[in-house]
Amino acid sequence: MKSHGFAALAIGLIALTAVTLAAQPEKGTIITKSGQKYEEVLYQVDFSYKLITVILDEEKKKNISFTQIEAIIREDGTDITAEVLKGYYKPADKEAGKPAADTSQVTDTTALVPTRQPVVPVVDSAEVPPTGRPAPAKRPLETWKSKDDEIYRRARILRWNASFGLTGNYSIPSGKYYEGVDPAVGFGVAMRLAVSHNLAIGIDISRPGYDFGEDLEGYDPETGMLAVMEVGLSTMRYTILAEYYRMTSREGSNLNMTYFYTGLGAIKHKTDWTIVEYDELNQRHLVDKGATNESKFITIFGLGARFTFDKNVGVDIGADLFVVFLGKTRATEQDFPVEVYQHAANIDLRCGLIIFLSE
Amino acid sequence: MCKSKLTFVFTVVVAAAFLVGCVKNYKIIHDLEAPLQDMASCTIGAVTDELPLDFEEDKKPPLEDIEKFKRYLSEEIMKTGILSMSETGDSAARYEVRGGILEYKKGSGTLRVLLGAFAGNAYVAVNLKLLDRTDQLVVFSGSFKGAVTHYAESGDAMFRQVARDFAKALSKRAKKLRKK
Repeated sequence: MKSHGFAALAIGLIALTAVTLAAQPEKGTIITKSGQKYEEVLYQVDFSYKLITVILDEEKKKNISFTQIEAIIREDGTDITAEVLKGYYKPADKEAGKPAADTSQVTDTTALVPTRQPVVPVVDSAEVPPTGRPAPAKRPLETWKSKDDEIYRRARILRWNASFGLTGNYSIPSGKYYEGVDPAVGFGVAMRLAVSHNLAIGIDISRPGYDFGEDLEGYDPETGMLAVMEVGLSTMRYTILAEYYRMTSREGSNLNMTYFYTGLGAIKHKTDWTIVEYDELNQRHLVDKGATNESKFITIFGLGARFTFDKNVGVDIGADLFVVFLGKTRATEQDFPVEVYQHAANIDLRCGLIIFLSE
Repeated sequence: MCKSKLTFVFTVVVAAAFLVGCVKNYKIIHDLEAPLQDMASCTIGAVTDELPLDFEEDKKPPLEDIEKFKRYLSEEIMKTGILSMSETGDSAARYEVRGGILEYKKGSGTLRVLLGAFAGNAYVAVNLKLLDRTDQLVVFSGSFKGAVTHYAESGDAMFRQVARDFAKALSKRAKKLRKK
């Protein structure tokens, strides 16, 4: 418990330090659109609320919305408005009163569609210049588009509907449960259905090529013959998953994307074993044979990227982590049985082909 | 898990919930300085686009959501009982609420359901002001945030949250000034 407390305290202190450092006030001159000028004042930028807090004195602070900022001038005289306000810096606002530019040379009519309405000439009563009242405000226009508008309709169309993949995988087993099992190359198939621009659901079925490596050999103390135990392992994994994907570009013909997914399913292990003995004449005698089946619950976490080299065909590269839940597995330690709760893991490195289907 | 660990986890969760509950989702830019005219009429004016210049057109909130937001604003102010709400765009109203959408993320309800908290979350930041139309001055304004992270909530809930916060902040200040 103590260690938890110290860890929480340490994280808290680090976070507090980071927040304190990030919130250090700057010094400069703030000019608002209504003409108010706060010269050589300390200010803090709050990007969360899109405002600047001007520290007038120890107790008096004033919040100014990004939309009301005309300019921010650093102590050395540099105009840092664009740097501070980023996308909220609208130099066009300053030009609002000027006549429109000559657009006769523009052939693309979509470029003429205004994307922003005029600035609302509303004045904060705390910032009214003492010389007179502001002019009555002109009613602003709202330019919101309806859900049925073409731009939203186009945005709703999915760029792909389904995909099918065939991958090769290099599977690495991990944990006591897989002791003696070697990493191996296998294959898998994957299917995805796009639900939205960022979400897909899917099924993965894969077969890691796990094997126990070389056969076990020894001499039967009773017969003196060479005994060989041949063990074969066949593993299949079945998972259903939800995938979050992000296209690298919003438009264009390629379907390049990065993704991660998580899901659950089952892993099935089938073990076949055969014991044979060889006599002096090297003749094979079957001693015993059998098979066991074991299915376990698994979860999958995967990530990767897909690149299309043709309109609908591409490569899929990624990695998966399968956590195998073994439940309470009885194991022995120095001949004493101990009951342990075990997890095991499979790590897969994948590479394969993917085909996208779209309307 | 032993009892002491459970108690520790429970305490942390309760403390976190308490802290989150105490955090205000708004910052006042210009606070009300004089009492509002009692039960004066108020209308909801324009809610404009103040999103960053590089904000993609098809990711902006659609008209239908803005209309809902205006309705929520009207309902929430009405609930406080400080002003009487009249139809949107009523030119005879003494006060007018105007807004500007500063930040918006539509989020995804499906993602919230499938992947849980913080996946597919939706949020909005709005600059809201109350104007006295007699002299066209802003008498109250602030920056308000709303978010939806819970799978059971629809994306509209963030607009409702912003409207509620605005109405509460305004009514709290108006009532305080009236008492003075």
